[in-house]
Amino acid sequence: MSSSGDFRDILSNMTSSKEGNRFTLISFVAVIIMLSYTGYDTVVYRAEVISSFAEENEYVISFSIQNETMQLVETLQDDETRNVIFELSDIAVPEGFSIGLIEVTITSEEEEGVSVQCDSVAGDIIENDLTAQWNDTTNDLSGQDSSCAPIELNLRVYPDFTGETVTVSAINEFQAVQKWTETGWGVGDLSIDLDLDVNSPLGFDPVGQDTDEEITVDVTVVLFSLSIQQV
Amino acid sequence: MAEQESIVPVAAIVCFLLGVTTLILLNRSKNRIWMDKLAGLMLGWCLIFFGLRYAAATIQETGWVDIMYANESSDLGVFQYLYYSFTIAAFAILALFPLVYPYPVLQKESSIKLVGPITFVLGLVIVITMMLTDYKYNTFWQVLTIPCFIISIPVYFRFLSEEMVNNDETARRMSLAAGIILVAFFGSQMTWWLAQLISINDEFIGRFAIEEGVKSHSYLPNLIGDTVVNTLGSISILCLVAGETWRANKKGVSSFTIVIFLILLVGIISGIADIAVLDIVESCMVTECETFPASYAIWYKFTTEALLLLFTPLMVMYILLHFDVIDTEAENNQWMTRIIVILMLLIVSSTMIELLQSFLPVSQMVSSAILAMVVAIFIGWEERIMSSLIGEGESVSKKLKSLGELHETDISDEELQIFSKLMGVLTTIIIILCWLYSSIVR
Repeated sequence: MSSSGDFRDILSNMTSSKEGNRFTLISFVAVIIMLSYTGYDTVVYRAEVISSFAEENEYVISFSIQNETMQLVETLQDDETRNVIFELSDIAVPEGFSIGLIEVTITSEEEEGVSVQCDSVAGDIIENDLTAQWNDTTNDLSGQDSSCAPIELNLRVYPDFTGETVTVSAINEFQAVQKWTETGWGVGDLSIDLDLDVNSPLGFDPVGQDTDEEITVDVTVVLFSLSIQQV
Repeated sequence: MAEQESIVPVAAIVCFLLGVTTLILLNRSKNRIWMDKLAGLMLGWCLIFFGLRYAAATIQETGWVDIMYANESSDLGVFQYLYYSFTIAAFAILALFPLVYPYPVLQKESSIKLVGPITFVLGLVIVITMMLTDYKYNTFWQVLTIPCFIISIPVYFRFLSEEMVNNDETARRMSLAAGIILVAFFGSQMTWWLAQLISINDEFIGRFAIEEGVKSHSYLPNLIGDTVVNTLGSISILCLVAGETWRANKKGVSSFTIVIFLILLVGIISGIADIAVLDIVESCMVTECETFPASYAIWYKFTTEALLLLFTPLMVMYILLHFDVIDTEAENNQWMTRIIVILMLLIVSSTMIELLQSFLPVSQMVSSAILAMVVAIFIGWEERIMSSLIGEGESVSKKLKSLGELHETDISDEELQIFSKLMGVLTTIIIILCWLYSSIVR
């Protein structure tokens, strides 16, 4: 005997076993149940999560600045070069803060000599094993002055830190702030060379009083912590 | 530990070789019932398409996940186009295969003749649509596996019940064929059934989406495709476990029962492993993507990937031989069948040994010795392996015929061969389209 090939006959043959139909029905119901909750998780909930990552979010990172200062007063003789060291480990960096910048101000005040002419003072931040951005183009590592004006030097310690608010694109907060949570920057000692060249009018100091100079070195360590906000 | 080598090239060889051999053997098989002939053609072409897909992936030399999901910013090379297109062509066949085998829903001569053209049109339409949409919805067409579940589950339970309730021993071949087809279709999804049951697979989808830079995962149709296929795979394995437990209680444990319970066990272990790595999975969303432990990757290589790439072709080979889809008794076919069976088993065994060697501190001398042992076993037991594959072979079509549930048609071999011709044309069109389109959009 051959089947007629009619679709209705085929369907009725396929479902001719009562026991089999019971199992089949249970399987199909199980599929519907599983599809409903996994479908909700994937197609509704997860799709929402994924779409929130589909385009990178914009975050505004702003910095809270806190300054720590150190000062050293040195008296240099004429034509003397002296190296001074500031141990950055002496600074108590609060929890959540990192060292961003180091600003150095070198001041000298002419009080001696007949003419009270300003001496020539030079200052150099010496590259050593202090972990900082030594090759950053914004650094100002050397300065010289003979007009009694302070010499301003600076060294960027944390990569790209300016203290200005920045906007970044990232898929989550963690990755947005990742660049600003590196550790290990600002470890070591700050080494500064001071150089003095006493100036007299026409090179003449009859009393011979102006042979040295008191130089004050102020080091400001700029610390920062950050706060983040999604745009 | 040596670097983990990809098993995709091996899969390419296995699938292509088996596909071509199937078509040759089928061509030499005379007096086959239309259902066997058409099923053989469909399986043969499906294997060829899978072989070509894996070959494209091998040439592309792209990571498995990378090639699966198109990146909006990545250049789609010709091989990536070929990979997607041959996958779609294979799935077009798979969508219609359950309508023909093991229980043909299409039995009228007119509808049988339409199988080839429908597969051709379906494949071509999806290939072109996906190409024009830059493969954004390239996992959606997994829904083409729905007919397999809807047809194979009732067939499996009907004939299992007949075997159990009516003690009809011959009904087993029908339930076995339906069961093997379910494993061949949903094998990889079956290995993460527990993860789907407790609904954590979406976390993995989320991770892959973010890790890969939110590619096609973010498109809703793809999420639907993933959910459907994972659910059908999970329910399929649970159905097979229920059925095989029932059968094992009454009739004893069979090799298929062992396979099913092994997949169940793999699913449990994978589920536990998935739960254990959930923090790593979620790291992409809350912090940054951490990499999975090496052991986790090895586990999936040996289970899900090996099942999909190596054991699925073997299952297809089992269907072809055990259920007499191809005429293994014909004198011309015997030597070729023997060669292909031993070759397939050896390729898969040697690949598994190589994979083991990649993470176990086993010297090459030892692995060579193990391989020699495997070869010796296969040669020594050649007769036994062949007789277990072929000797017990009973045609599914003969069973249906004996039940009076198979329509005998006058459809000729030439009319069935139209399927092969159309698939040949489809292959040519795909190659030309991929080459042209990839060079135009580049």
